[in-house]
Amino acid sequence: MRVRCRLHLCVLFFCCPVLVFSQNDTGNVATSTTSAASNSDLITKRIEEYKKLEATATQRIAEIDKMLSPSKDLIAKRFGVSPEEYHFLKLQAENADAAKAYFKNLRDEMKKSYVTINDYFAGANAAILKNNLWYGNEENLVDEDVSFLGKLEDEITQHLDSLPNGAEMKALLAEKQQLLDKLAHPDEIVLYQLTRKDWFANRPDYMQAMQEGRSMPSAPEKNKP
Amino acid sequence: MALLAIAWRPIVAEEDASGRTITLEIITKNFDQNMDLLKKEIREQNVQDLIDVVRKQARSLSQSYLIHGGGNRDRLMQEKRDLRLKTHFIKADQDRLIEIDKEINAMDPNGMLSNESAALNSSISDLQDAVNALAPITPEDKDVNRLILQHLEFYSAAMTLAGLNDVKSGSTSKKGKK
Repeated sequence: MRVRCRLHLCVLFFCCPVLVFSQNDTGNVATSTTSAASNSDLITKRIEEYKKLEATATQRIAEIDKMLSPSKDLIAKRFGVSPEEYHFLKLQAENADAAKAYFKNLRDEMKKSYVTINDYFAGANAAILKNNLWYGNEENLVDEDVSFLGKLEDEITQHLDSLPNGAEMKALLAEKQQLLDKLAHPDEIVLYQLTRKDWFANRPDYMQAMQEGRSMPSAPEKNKP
Repeated sequence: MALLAIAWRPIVAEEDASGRTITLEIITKNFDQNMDLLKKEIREQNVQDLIDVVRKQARSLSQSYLIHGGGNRDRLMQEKRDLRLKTHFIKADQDRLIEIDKEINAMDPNGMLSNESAALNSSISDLQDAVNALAPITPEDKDVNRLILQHLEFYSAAMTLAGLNDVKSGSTSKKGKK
């Protein structure tokens, strides 16, 4: 009889739907299945929110750029820098480390063939004859360009202050900067989901290396799937 | 059979955008021309003299290079580099590398190129030391010094491509030189 009862209990245990109760941060009781589903919804919601922000911010930045462009032209004329040049200097300043590495890597690459070595000598010849002695020093000049741009932007701000609608324009610039900052620093979870999710699935050697605590990759042949 | 062997070799001539084949001779000519211009920007007599020594030795090496293989040597050096870059290195590649080294050595049986490149490397090293010891006064001086050093780096790279920096007696290492 006792055995039979035990059997009935087992059947009951395995056949009934299992509800595991857990408490969330607010002290409310929730089932694990509900919790997993809501977490997934939350992540999807955060990704959607970021994508929405990205779309609206990009549009707003373009609008601000359009609104500020006539005065930018004027300022460019005032400082002797064309809008394209100004834009390029900004781009370079935003990627200063990459810019410096680019020129160093370019020179290293140029040393690898007769043609590019000769290109260096030909370029140097033209530069020396024009007294452009900074030729070949591009990576060190990036810092000078960044500093020049900083000075230029200070003067632009001062110039904006002196204009009748200067405050409005400065507010637009600040708004643009705020949007750029938001876009540049997305939530870590969103960033992971949008960029690196599952990337290691195609790297069996890396996964193996992590299991073995190994820092060196396997030989190339071994890496091939 | 020999013709067939030549036929399967990759085309390795280094041509610029206009289709002109770039050789060590052309590189040396341009290097020499630029070093002459840079020399005029230097005040120190000892550095000017060292520049002249390097230019003279580079011109002489370039001539010897032409005599001892020239384009053929360039093709063999390129083939050697291509073989070393192969991911699946087989015994036939190893044999070919040995054969290439033999062919290159046969082009310079008396080691003339080895001796000339060793002398040039030593002069380059002396010039580098002299330029590094200069105390530039103006930003222009600094630029000229950097340009000289860069020209030496690029010319040394060309010598390496020509197989002149891995010759037995031509060490470019500054270590142990003094």
